[in-house]
Amino acid sequence: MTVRGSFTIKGLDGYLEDLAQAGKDVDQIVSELLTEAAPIAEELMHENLRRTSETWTGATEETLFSSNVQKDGNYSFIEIGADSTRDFASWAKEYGTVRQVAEPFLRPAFTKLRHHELRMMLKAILERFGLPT
Amino acid sequence: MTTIFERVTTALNTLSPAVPFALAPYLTEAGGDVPDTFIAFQLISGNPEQSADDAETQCSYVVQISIYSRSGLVSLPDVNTAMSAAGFQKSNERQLPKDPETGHFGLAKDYVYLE
Repeated sequence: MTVRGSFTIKGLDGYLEDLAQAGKDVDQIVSELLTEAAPIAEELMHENLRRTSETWTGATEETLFSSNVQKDGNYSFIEIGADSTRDFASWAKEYGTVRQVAEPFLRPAFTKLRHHELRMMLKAILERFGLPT
Repeated sequence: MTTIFERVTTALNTLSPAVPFALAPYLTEAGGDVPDTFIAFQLISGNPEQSADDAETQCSYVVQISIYSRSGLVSLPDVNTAMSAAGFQKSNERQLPKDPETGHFGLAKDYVYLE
């Protein structure tokens, strides 16, 4: 059975006006928050790695990275992940092989970032604008 | 209550022709070789999606289905149809490097189940 629903968000016009009147550079605030978020995101991967690893060699941990804030047009972003070109161990650990069960550390980290940390960041952006959250 | 593992097992049992599958890792008897084509599945994460009155009312599961085949990836079991019929939504997929020991090519497909 398919369940359908709809929802309406009201009051966004007022929010946007408040943002414009705050006179702050939203790109600057997002950039600051992303810079603060990068080590948190990377630590999340480290945590997952330590928790899921049945044996510990440290090989995968050395491939973890987070970038500085980058911009592409209106998008501000950071890159986080594991560089499997440096060591295949990270790929095998995340996705498994014929003989090796996967010990995923990236996908659960990204899921948590999407579910929880992203919401926290949006809240922090509004707080830095002095707007109610 | 039906577990996510039962749901995946039920779905993969509908594959025709049948393909050997198991919860990862796919184990064989000592010294035994793995089949030319087989499937290994595992739970990647279970995530709470919605709560009400201090109780979880909805959660999602991400399941990885890895299809391994020595003959390449052109003709593979129709896992999408089997999983969709069981209520799973298709998500990301990626090719796995050829296994140098067993000679299997691999394709890992993620599916999401919301309950």
